[in-house]
Amino acid sequence: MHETRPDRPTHKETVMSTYLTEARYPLELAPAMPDVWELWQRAKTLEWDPETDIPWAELHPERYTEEQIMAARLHWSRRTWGEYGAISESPALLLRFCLENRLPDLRFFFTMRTQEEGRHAEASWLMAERLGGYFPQPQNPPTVSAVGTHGVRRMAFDPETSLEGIFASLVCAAEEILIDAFKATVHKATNPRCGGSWS
Amino acid sequence: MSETSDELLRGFQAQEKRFVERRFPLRFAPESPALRELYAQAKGLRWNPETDIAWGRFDPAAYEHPVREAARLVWSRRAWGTYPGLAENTALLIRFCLDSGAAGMDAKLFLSFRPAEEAKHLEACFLFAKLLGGYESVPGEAVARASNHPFAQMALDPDLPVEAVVAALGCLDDQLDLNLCLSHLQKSRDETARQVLRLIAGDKQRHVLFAWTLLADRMPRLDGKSRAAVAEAVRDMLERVILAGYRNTWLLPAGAPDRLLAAEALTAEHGLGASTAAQEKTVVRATLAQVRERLATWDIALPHVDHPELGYA
Repeated sequence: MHETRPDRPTHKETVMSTYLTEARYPLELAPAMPDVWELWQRAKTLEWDPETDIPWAELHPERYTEEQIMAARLHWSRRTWGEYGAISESPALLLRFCLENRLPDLRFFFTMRTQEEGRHAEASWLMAERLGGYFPQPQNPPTVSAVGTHGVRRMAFDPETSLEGIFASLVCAAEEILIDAFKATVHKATNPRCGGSWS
Repeated sequence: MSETSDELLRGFQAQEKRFVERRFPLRFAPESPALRELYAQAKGLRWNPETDIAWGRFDPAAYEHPVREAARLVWSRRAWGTYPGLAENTALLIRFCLDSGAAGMDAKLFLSFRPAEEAKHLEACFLFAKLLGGYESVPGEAVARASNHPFAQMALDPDLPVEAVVAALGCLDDQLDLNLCLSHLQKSRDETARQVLRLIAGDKQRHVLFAWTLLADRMPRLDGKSRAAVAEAVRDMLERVILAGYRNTWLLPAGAPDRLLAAEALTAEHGLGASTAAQEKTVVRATLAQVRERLATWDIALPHVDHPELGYA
């Protein structure tokens, strides 16, 4: 599961005595970035449940050919792997906000983002399942490394990589492309369940 | 940003590098129906501190200035105690992901929701403190020290089994936090304070259930070394964190928290969302007995403690 490093002490006097304590105070909580605060407020009102807010009964997989169903299962499984990356990696950015005592709006909003990514992963998995079955891994080995990580967690924990740099690359560039691809997908989707997943 | 934050980041970086994440096979099917049900409940029981609490019905003028001052300090202190939940649960989520892609999806989905729930509690405490006259962002030195522990690092420590982290944070600290919250709710007469505490307690109940359910699932499979780590982590949490005043002001070093103790007493007296020190002592003693009994079912011993303020418990 993880490597063992012989150079690290194996015995600790107490569990928590070996860790560092952050400089937490003053702990400001008042909004300081109105636009981001507004996003936090809006995110709270737009919560949804992939299990109950998508009318899965209207999916009707029987209307599609075997080949189409196989392609769709693969597509939605691949989407699940990608969304999972946002559960496994992007939350490290919230830790970074906390450690660097960044503005409270960022911290509040990013908690909601983690929750939203969880929902996206679940919705994609449910879609693949309802189409006939989710694939738990890529069939083609080179794909594993392509969808396995986007490296954000490593970047978020690297003090040499600026937070602004991560946001420019991950959010302003990569996710901008992603949202354009989503829009195109929604535009092309004729089955209402597929479009509905990305509301 | 600063030397401290850079050093902390390097610590996280070193911890993360010691894991070899095996993301595939990436399984989503429920392993533990009870945990998946807690996740489903979290999705269904969402609330918004801005709109679901009737702030407009709270009349600050109904309370005299010293009472409002006391209550705003108490609710600020509650915010300081809530804030760590953002980072520690995020770190725990990352830990489950680093441990395995094939296992633990129920816990991961549940934990993907928890930081936002903690943020809502934080916002509710902040808004109430603001309404009472203003949130205080800087605690006194003793409270600052007692309320700032490196739980996020603990969650990402590859030398520590994840079960030990969940036992210490979830089964002990979250359980105590829930029991205290219920005590405050029981003693509160103010409608707004009761509403805030009721909504927060509903989430905390789920958080505690998560910890006990996860341990019930995993403890029987743990080897002796990991079980010892669970026992050590819980003992450490009790002796170095809880008894040092993490949740209870009267456990802080003598003299340091006088202002806060007086504020808690006044807030409790006026039913604005606190318990008296005597009431809290009863809760702590009962919680320790409760946690000790439940851990004993897995042969995990939580030793008794003898503390000048708490007594033998």
